[in-house]
Amino acid sequence: MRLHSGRGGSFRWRLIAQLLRPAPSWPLAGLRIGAGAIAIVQALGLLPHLDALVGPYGIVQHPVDQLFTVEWLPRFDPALNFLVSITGCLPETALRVLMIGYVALMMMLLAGCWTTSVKWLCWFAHLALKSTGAAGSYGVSEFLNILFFYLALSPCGEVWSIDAMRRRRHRRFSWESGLLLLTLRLHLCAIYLSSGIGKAVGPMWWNGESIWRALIRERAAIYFSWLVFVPWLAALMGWWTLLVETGYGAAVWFPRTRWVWIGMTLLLHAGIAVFLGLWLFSATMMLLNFCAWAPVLQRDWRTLRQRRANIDQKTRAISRRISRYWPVSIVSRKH
Amino acid sequence: MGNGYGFYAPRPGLPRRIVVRLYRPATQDWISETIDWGRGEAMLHVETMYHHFQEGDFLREYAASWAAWYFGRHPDAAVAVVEDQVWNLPSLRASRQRPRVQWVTMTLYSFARTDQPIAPEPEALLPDAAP
Repeated sequence: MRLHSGRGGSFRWRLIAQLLRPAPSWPLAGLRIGAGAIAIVQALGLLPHLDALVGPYGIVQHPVDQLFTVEWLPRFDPALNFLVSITGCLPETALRVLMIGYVALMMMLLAGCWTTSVKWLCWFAHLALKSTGAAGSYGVSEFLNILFFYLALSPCGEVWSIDAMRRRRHRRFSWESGLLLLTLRLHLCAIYLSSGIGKAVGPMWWNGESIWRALIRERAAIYFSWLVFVPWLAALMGWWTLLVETGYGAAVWFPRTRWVWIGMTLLLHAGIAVFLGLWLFSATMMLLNFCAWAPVLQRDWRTLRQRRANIDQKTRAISRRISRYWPVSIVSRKH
Repeated sequence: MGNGYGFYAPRPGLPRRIVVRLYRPATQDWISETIDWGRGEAMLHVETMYHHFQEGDFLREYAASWAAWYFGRHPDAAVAVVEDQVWNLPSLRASRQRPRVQWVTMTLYSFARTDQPIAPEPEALLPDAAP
């Protein structure tokens, strides 16, 4: 057994111990609640135009829509056809029934009810919704898919859930949580690095044109037309975006830069929400960032407080020592 | 980069929209339609759909799907012209001269229903006749 002997062995053990180090379960519960809420808001937003966006006779009909996705992914079509064939209802009605089922599943996930099976069903249902309306699915659907995948693998119902209340026993820390959060952090680093490099290869994020294009929309043109008089500001915003995205992968691993980078990333997504109107996408990214790094930031905060307490203690000790030897007369004369 | 994470990379696309012009033989007129669902989640999905028109594959089938949807909403229409339009936003530097920004048609796709007589006057179907 090489694992037990030699220097390499001990390194491996340390690595395994590090990977399987228990982490708090609450970030996964936070992801569960956040993902459920975002999926419900998204579904409610789609509901008034469901037939046009997801229906078999929608803007992009299913045979064409299938060209935008992979064949073997789950879709709503079989369930839709099944419902129509057994009830004889219209496809539009069947689609609404399926959507109500989808929202109900998400509500169960949010509440943490039968989480062990519901989390898998939620991932499956979201994947089906995403691939059924594949032509219209954008960033938020992609990232919710990633989120549901992590949730399906995680013990996300251990705290803040009806399941936990029923059991009256909570696993507040678990090794699965530690491993999944670490994987999620690495995944986020890969995402931001990829996005940052993708932007940096073209000239438009360097000269401010991309910020100009992103901010100036037909409806919002009036609000940002002043940017033409301060092109350097648009360029600066572009550089800042590139810095945040490309630097994320390195900066978040060092305690000194972590706070700043997570803060800047959250600010970036808040800006995307407010100025580009991508509220759900930004909420998903902020949720992923917050829950992935919260335990580490919490640890950093504790360490910082501990350090401050130590410094205070040392300062007090030094001041006591000084006051012991300092001539009292001088001190009293000064005051 | 092909992994789907490159949002707005290497640059954001120009705003796009689809305008469908439909010819109704019964009234011999053209009507023009575009989707305007405000600024909610549904509209973001539609805007994502618009951007598929800049990708090269199966555009004809894609445009046919749009035409079919509009035919469904207007059963009396016999011809649909699907226009892929781009908002010709000038560059940041060029915008100082305040050029006119407008929707520009990039590609036209025309479709006719085979189960309806089209028009008594073929010249009515010329692109110039479209409003």
